Amino acid sequence: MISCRKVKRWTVDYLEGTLSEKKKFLFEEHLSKCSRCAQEIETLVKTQKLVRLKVREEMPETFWAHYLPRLKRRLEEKPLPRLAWRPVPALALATATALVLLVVAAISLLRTPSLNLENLPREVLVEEVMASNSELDYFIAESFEPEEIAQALLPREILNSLVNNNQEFTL
Amino acid sequence: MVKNEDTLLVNRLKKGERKAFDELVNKYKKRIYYLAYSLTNNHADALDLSQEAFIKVYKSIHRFRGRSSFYTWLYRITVNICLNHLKKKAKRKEISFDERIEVAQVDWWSNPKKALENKELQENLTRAIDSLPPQQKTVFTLRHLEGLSHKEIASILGCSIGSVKANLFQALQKLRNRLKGYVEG
Ligand SMILES: [Zn+2]
Repeated sequence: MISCRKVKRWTVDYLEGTLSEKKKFLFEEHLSKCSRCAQEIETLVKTQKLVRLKVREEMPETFWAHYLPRLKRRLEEKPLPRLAWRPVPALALATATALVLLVVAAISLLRTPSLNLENLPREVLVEEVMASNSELDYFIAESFEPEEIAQALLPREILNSLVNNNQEFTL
Repeated sequence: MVKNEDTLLVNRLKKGERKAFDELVNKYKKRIYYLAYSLTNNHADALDLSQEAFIKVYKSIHRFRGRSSFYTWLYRITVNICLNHLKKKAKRKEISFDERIEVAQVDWWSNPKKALENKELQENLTRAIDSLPPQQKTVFTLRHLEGLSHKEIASILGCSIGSVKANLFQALQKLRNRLKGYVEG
């Protein structure tokens, strides 16, 4: 009988079905006599099947349409600022300004009681926000909720003052 | 066919033809983006790092000698950029790889189709894979999410096939330990 160590070494090939007939026979013979290895392999087989059920969320076609233009801007070394969860000072002033415009526009949309946003398709909302500032990359608006962007990037007091002074930016 | 097409595009790019670069990007952007996304589990990082990979291709195309296929080279560049990123991130944040994910009972075994729509299960799978050490996560992703062969993975990572298999085995064991609630009993 082959050793438990050998079983370990052959496991990946066994799971992927690439063991030779002879090795497969020896492998399964071991499993029929060693309950520890049998249990180990059974849970690994299940794990492999389970992880293959993982589905990937697909990006929308609009995202792909903007991929190359964005890359070209980066190549021309006029990169668009990268949006990440960091505080305002880390952002360039221009970005901050652009974001403020987005955020203000978004907040005014989201918080104006007369507008019922629940019935508004998200694409429409994003397009509206984008239309208010051509500098902003589509991806930024597409991937994060405007409120998330605002809360992650802007200090509370700035947010408050923006909400209070946003009339002129209303879309 | 695919290989020849890439060789032609690479040659055109080497002669300075920007349009050839556009064609290569459009051909591979989805695969490269999703590879970076699988490795980073973050859309902003995936966009940033995948574009960094294409920029590197553009700037160092003259160094590509065609000893491997173009896509192997492109994958290697992408994986290296992502691995560097993951290692930097791992240094900042210590993650416990053996922490077990508590799960509600899901009968995915007898009904795999339901598992595809089970949000909690999908989130737990993502968390489990994301918690793997960078090298194991990379090998696991290339094999099971990208469907590359052991040989291709070895070539991309510049390691032996034995090392690819060892990483796959360790990754699977870690995933099993984290996802015990789904695979035991
Ligand atoms: Zn044994």
